[in-house]
Amino acid sequence: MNERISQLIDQELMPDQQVVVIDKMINHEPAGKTWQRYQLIGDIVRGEVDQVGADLTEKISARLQAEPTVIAPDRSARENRIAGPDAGIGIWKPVGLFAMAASLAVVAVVTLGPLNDSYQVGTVAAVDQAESGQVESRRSIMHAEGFHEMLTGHGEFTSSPAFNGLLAHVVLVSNQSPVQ
Amino acid sequence: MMGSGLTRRMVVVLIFWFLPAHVFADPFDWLMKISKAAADVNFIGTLVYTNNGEIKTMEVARRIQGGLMQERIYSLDGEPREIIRSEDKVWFYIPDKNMVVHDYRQVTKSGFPRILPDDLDQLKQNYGFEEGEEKRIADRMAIEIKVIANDAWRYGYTLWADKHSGLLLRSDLVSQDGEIVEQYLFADIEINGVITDAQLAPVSSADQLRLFGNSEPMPESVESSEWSVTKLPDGYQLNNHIRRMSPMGKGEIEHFVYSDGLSTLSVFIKKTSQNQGEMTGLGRMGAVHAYRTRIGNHLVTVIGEVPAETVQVVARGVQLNKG
Repeated sequence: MNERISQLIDQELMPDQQVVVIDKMINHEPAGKTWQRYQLIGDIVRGEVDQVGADLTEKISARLQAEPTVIAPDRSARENRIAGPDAGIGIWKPVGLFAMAASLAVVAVVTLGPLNDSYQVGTVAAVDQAESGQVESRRSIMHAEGFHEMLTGHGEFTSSPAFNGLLAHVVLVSNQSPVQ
Repeated sequence: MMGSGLTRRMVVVLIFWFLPAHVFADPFDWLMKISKAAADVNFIGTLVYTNNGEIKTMEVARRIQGGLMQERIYSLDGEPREIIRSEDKVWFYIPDKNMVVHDYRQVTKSGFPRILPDDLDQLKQNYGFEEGEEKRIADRMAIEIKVIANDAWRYGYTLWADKHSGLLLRSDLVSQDGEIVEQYLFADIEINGVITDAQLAPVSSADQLRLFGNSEPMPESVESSEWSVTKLPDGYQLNNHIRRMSPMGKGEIEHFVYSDGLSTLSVFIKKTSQNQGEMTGLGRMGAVHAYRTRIGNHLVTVIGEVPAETVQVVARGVQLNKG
């Protein structure tokens, strides 16, 4: 299957083969592979895998839309998150700090799909690493929903004499990735 | 008794306030001066951040005007992201995601973390201090201050403070075996010059970006909690205990903040449904280690610029009080 996914990304498959692989990615992989496949799907949907053409992206998006448990958010829950207006710019959206944090660190790639749908994949595509004691990168808790909200909150309270909470923001702005 | 102690502390603070930085000789004095300068000194410069073999550069400008802070951090490599901070708000400009995010800062103007004379006793319990040599950093003379951790529960620091203003020009986070875990270094800096409004304004045009935000107000202090943190390394004390609503609309997050005088540990507790499959375990980003575990239908997350063992031990000591 991995080879087929690789071929899919490299655009080496015929259109009908692409659909088969996409369906397998969505529906038939073992549960333990959930995280990886959704990450890949998220990468593809957002065009972060450079080689994938627009037509393939559209196909995957269409397949995903037929899989509401995968990517479609709970609209009622989403509406509850809508923030109030503030001085001025743009339109307030419900994603909040979580989306910001995930974006800043470029870690939870899956969680930043189409903006309104951002967090749902990450929620579904979690992997329990309880008590593993392993520091991992793409599967670490740094990808977890709400983590960067907490990291930012932590940074504001840092008692380091250095920059009064600036350092945590520096880490975010610098696009720092989790340790490999 | 209390009055004389207060007077003595005020005198010490006033001394630090008015004397030029270079007259201080004691490493503790330098720490206080660094802390004070971080809150009082205007600067603009290029900050180099090194971690895990990666080097990132960013422009940092800070202005203190009328007692209020304004700050801009702008990434000079990679995506052109920037953060604008004021006393109580923070704006994240993320043009590569076509978005601006706004949030409230959790520390208010009165909550500037500083080192005060009362903190020194706590610091001495956890760290040793040495003054090093003078060194030229960013074309300025700097004083080296070594802050050596007394145990393996925390990292040490090697700091270089500007000889005249006290502003920190370089900070190395150092492990027990002397390895530099993380480094911040100003490559160039202008101190106490005029910082214009333009230098603090975002480069990114908000008109082109979508705005996201957190409408929740500042967090509130927790009066009573059903949670307790039973295992803490020596020297850590509870500094803050707050509760805020999750911007995800998924209930409250309880936040314990512990400090040993320099390093900070956060314990977050968030209620969640069973079997949502949230990730747990250990993670690392820069010098920050985090450990997340589940207790019943709550997720407990411990975050700190400390070794991995520290966050693990603290997380495993979090208990739900039965009552």
